[in-house]
Amino acid sequence: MQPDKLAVALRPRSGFEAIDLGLRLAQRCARPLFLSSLALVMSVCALAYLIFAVWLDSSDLGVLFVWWLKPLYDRLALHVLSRGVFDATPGLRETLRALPSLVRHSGLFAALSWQRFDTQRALRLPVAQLEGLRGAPARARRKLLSRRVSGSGIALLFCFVNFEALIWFGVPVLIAMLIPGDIEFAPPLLRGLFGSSEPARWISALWFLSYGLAVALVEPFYLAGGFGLYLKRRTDLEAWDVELQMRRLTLPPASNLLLGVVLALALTALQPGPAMAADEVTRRESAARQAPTAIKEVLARPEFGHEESVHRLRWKSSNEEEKPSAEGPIPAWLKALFKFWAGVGKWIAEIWRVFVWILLGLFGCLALWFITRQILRMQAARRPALPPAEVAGLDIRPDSLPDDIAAAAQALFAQGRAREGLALLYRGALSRLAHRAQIPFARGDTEGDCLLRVTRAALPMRAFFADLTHSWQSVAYADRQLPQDQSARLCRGWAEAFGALR
Amino acid sequence: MLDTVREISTPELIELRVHCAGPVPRALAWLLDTLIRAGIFALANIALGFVGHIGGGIMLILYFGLEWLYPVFFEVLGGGATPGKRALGLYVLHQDGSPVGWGASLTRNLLRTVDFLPFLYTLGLISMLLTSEFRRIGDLVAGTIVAYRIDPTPLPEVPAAPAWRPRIPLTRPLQQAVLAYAERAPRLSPERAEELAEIAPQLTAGAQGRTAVERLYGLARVLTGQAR
Repeated sequence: MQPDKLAVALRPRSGFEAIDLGLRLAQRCARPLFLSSLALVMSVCALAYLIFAVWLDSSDLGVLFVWWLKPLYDRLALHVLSRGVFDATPGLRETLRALPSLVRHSGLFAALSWQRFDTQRALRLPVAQLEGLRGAPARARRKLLSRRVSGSGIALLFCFVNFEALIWFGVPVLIAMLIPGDIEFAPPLLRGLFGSSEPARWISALWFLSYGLAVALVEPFYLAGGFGLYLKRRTDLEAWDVELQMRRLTLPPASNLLLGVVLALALTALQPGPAMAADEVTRRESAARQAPTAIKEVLARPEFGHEESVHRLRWKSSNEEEKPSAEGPIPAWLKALFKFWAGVGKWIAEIWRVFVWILLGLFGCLALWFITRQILRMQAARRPALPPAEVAGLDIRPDSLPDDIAAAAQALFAQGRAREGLALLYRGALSRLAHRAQIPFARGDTEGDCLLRVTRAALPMRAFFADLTHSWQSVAYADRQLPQDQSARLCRGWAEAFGALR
Repeated sequence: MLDTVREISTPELIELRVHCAGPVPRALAWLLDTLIRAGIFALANIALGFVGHIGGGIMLILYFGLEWLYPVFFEVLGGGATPGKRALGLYVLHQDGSPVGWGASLTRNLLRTVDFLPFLYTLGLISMLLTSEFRRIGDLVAGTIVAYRIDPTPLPEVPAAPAWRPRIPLTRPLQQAVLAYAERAPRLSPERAEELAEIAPQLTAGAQGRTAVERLYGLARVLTGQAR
């Protein structure tokens, strides 16, 4: 036994998973497995039919005979599977040639007599056939093998007894269901199965054939499931998977070392000399010459796009006139009812259509309104805010002021009303700054705030405005007298600073 | 290597291994579910027999629900498993490894009608025996698989042995191999355990026989944190 040659993955498995692995193995070696099984079972069936159904006139006995010989078919299947597990599946002819030796050397007599009702048949067969044990050691070995998996083994048998019956009866009935009703096939078939009267000969022959096919196709799967359980038990008992893991791990360092030595030797031998360099140049040139054809060859490979024709079913366009129904005439009142409801349906549809259009219109209006509102808002946000009418308790609206503020103030100063003249000058300055220079004064700004805003805006008249503010504050709040020359200077200065701001 | 595992790699490059379940456990799970449903139906029958005609109506609705919605309900809300599947350690999932959803579960259970043909899932059985991941027609259409629920295995209980550290770097596969050995060796025959331990002389510094086994146990105890 060499676990490293096995073609199945070794790992700890549950009993059911082991059965599944066996089924996968049967799928993998399906060709020789089922062909050989069909060949053997069908020849046995033909023989049984001739002896029991034709000669002794009892096809039930024939079925029993075919069933009884199942251990024989198992041996052939195991022969294929036990080689398939090493990825060395034999061909059909090779398999059938092995049959005589299998009959002689695998304890067939015991299997067909006192071991025929063994519930673990598939699991235990390898002991006799592959391990070649007989007598007491074989008994001990069988016991050991089925110790932890007997439940799975019985479940396997139970399921496959039913599966075989399903295929035996189900497949002919399935075929019968697909045959059109006017061909009398299904009723006699079922009568043959359940009827009390003696069925026709062809029917019993059909059931016989069906049984043979079911055995030939299901029995190998059953045996494969059992073989899977056998592999599981061997793996568990002998820890094949662990052995494999250990071997794989311990190999690489040694092989790497070997490879390293070989490479080192090869490299010293292949040190490139001058002659080799020249050779290298010619080689490169010839490769460059061949490049176009090489590229074409590579591009012609299927990986770089290829044509493929795909056939698929499509509905025929149904332009043909509807044929009159074969179901018989529909009563007139039903037609009238249909027509009525169809009319009502049309009305409802029309009403809904109008309703939906109105709804769509409303939605359109709503969207338009929303968009215009947004646009207006955005424009409003972009436009600078109007300056307030009053700042620091002073009216700064342009129309509340005279046209020539400096001259008007001068006149007021001349009349001795210095306080009013200064107020006019200050008011005028604020008004010009707010309306012409767009200084964003707020309603509640104090004189100091206004000066701060003008300072921030870095306007050229900032110095004069500061002077004016201080003068205004000292006159208005401190009630000081303004010096004579100061008023004249302020009027001149105002005309210079704000005269141009119109 | 032949195996019954479907390997799925997620976009995050995580390898998932889904262990597909074959016809034998699935048939048994179905049988169990059928018995459960028949039991519920029989009990309801007895109870509703006292109600009269309305009882008959309710019974038909109940039958409909048990037939069509019982598997869907349990598969989607019960972690992918009907009671029968749960008992057999199976569950349904999408073929990309994600938990089964309403759409796929409804599809695979509605297609039981096809799999059932002509009686008792003959077509489904044939389909399962022919496909590599044991899928019946409903599974193929809905893109689902039935798999074994594999519980994470606990760390092995390693037999007592003096701690041992080899002088070679312990790669991950190497550690796994040592743990697998420590888990399995106590159940092997002593001769086989010794033979296996002698396969890897660099792990045991070339020890022979019982010493090699003890050293591997000691290493496993170090790896599982049972020794220092």
